Amino acid sequence: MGFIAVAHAAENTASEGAALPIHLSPEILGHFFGLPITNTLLTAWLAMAIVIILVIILRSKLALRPGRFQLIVEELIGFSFNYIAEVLESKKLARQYFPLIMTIFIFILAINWVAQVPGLEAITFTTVVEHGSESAKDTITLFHPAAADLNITLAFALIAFFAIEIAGVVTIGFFKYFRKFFNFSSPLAFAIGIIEFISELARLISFSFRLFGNIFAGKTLILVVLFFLPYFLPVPLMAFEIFVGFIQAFIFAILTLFFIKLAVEEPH
Amino acid sequence: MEDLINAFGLDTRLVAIQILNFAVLAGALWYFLYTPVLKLLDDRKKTIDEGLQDAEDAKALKENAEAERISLLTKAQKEAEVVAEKAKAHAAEKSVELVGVAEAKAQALIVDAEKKGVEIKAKAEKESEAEIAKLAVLAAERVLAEK
Repeated sequence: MGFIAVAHAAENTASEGAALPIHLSPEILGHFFGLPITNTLLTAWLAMAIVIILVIILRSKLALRPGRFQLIVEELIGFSFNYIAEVLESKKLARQYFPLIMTIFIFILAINWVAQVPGLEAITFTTVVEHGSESAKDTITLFHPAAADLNITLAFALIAFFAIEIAGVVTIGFFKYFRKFFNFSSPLAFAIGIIEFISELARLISFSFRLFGNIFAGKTLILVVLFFLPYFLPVPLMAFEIFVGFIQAFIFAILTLFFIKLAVEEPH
Repeated sequence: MEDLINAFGLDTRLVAIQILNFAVLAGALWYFLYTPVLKLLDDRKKTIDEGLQDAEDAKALKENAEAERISLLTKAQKEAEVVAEKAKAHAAEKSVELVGVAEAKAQALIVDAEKKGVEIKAKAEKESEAEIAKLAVLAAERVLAEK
């Protein structure tokens, strides 16, 4: 766990103001009814608020003859729905899983892109942190890329994981679905089933750490580059981060779709 | 494991809040985006299908109307020809008849006129005979008076 120690060291020096503010864990701004409110959570809420306001505006202006913005959204929704229907080979299944897959995509895209807004990091928040008996003032950024918080990516991973398992059980039945993993017809089938089962569980880790790793790395890279050359070098990297934010949202959604497809297939 | 959880700041409450966030956003998007937009796309598809169907129907209707118009025109023309033929035949017949009637009338008139002529002649002859007799008597009277 060497890297964690390094991150901890960075975290410890960050409060002194000199070093890079790199944290593996989210920073707690305060508590609300005993629930910890972190800066990543706040970013997620900001992203949600922006998305919800946009869709409410869109909804109120929806017309049979579309404007430009409506056309783009329609294209996105229509294309995605048709693609999902094509992959799942069923319009009925597509109608069931489209909201889930599309929300995963939109939510991750929104939190990734909101975090790229320049200057957002400059908004800071001073809080009193208690270290045992003594308390110290700590200045932390109010908004931090939400996907650079494992809590948030783990939540997405759990949602995707349970959606996939439930899709399998509901579509082909409990016993048929679990025969994919616990098959006693032959030793080979049993071994393959167990491997399948482990890889199924491993998705939780791969889902959450893929998104976390990409966004955390991007954030860290920009911080490091800003440290060395603050003026021009971060620009292409920030553009790249916008691309990465899209790609990660896309990958998360598309993998959920493909795993749902695998889950609803009848076992051979 | 404990180290890992601490290092990443994992907190089940935060995960739960984020899952709740997801549910809220999914609900909002479902209500404000997916349902209306997918319905709109369906509606538009329906409208376009209907429009195309209407256009096709109209085209078929137009073709039918054109065909009907042509058939009606040919029929009317044929009928007109028949009527014209009939009228011609009828006119010819009538003219023959009329000429016959006229001839007969003329003949009758001639006969009548001849008859009348004869009558007039006879009357005139009679009258002139009477006149001559009268004149003869007057002449005789004059002769007798001179004497």
